[in-house]
Amino acid sequence: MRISSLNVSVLAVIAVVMTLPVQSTFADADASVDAERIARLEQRLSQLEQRLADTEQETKEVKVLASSAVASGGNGASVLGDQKTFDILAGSAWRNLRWTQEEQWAGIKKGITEEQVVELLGKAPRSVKSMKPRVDKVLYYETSIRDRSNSLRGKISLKDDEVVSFQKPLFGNTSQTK
Amino acid sequence: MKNKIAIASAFLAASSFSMGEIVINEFLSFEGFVDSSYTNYQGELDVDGTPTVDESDNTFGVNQVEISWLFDFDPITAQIDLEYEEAGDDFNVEQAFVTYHLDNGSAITAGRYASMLGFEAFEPTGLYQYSTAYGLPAYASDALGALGGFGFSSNDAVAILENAIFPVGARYAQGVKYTYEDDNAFFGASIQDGSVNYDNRLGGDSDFDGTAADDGGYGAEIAFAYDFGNGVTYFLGGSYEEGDGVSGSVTAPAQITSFDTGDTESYVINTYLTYETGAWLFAAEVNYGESEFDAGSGNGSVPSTSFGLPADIEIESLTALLMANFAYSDQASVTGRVSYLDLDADLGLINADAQAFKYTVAHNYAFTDNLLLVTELSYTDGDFDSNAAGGVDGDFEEVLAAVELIFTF
Repeated sequence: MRISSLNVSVLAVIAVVMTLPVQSTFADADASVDAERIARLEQRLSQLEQRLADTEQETKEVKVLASSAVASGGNGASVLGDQKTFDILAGSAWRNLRWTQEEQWAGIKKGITEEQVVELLGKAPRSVKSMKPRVDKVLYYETSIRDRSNSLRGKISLKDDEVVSFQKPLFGNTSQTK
Repeated sequence: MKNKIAIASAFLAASSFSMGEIVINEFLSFEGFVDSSYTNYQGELDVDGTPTVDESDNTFGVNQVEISWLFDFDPITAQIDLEYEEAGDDFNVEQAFVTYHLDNGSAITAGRYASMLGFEAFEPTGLYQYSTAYGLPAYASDALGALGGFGFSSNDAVAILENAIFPVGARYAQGVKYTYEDDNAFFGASIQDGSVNYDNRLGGDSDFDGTAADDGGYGAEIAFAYDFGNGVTYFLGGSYEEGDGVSGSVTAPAQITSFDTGDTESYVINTYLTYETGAWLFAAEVNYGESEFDAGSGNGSVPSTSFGLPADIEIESLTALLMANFAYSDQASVTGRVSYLDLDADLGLINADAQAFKYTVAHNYAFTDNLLLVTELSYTDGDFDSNAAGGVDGDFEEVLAAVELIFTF
């Protein structure tokens, strides 16, 4: 076949037509990779947001507990309020302190289950199988059993896995120092 | 105060979620109790043709102290119960087990754990009364000595026979069990070292000739419970055990000093129904069990015996209870209970049977959630007869008064 402008033009058209699907495939692949990257970034962002929220919550709880101890007039004040508070935080850093938030108690009402109570307030530091005939179990939310001056003392009584009575902590004494 | 009510009892065995506890850290917590009491009993045993035997005594002291160590390494939990019991004056590991919780409500438990059978709780913290429904009178040795002409007084023999007569009660075994529970149902199956007579071995025979008792046996237990959701719960369970014989010492009659039985086999069926409505709780329970002791040997002048008798022993027992509890205030409740025993013992040459009713009233007053005062008055009335030479028939009765203080933490 002789080289002519017509032949060259035909070959060029054929080459372009054959290349187009390949280019489209590459474009699709790039888009897929981008989508995955975006998904990973969004997932990581979500995780970071969650960690930030958790940290903020813990900070708030620590502040509440520390201010509570100060309000109770505890001795041996430290950077966290007093020695008892420090001991609790240092020795029980694991403890879930959701119950120290007044708004968490808003969801506590008669009839909810123990699992729902734990979801709202965290696991109780102390509980007892009640000897009273109309109560199965009592959950105690308190920072110290023997420190009567500490106002953060809550109590929830359960019967047949349902809340039958509860006593909220006296948050009024601590709200001023939140 | 809660008994081991029906389904809840079984559920608690597989889950530590509902237990009271003092949380030490996220892995470890404690719970426990101290049980102390004063009791006074007056018993009378009247065997035909012999002078009436009167017995009276009282007890006072700390009956039991128990501390439970509760470990939680999700999905694995573990529990170790350490107890002091005045009876025996020693410390025991009552329970020690580890449980692997599967996602579907199933769990695998291994170690030493409580039986799944029985309506009544194994600990005083779960009872509505001081005493349990089933058991021998306080002067059991005398009563058994007269019953069927056994003629001996032996803690070993009394304990073994009491196990055969009352196969449902506070029992702990070592083994592996599978449990499943959902919101309404519970199922459990256990393979263990024994359910009535044996422990510390799992079958086999350690003796060369295979004839003497070597305390080797195995047991199996199965349980099912269902909560109908309207206050009614139903439980059905049973256990089976067989082994190479049990042994013990005998203080009388004088011609033998100890005994070894031949092979043994036991089974029991346990079923109960509870109904809780308002401040009322009703319960009904029936147990039926059979135990067989092949003739073994007596290490004295009696060469081939089972408990000193030259024959196999078969014991059938039917026990039952009816109970009602009424919580008349937030702090107090009253309980009435009637329990029944029907015993039939085939001793080869001798047949003996016994019947007894026990009537119990109790009052519980909770000073706080942690402190309970239990007062009880119970009366047991029974009779027995046998075809032993000369006839050994008679009756017995016992009045028991108890005041019990329980502190829990």
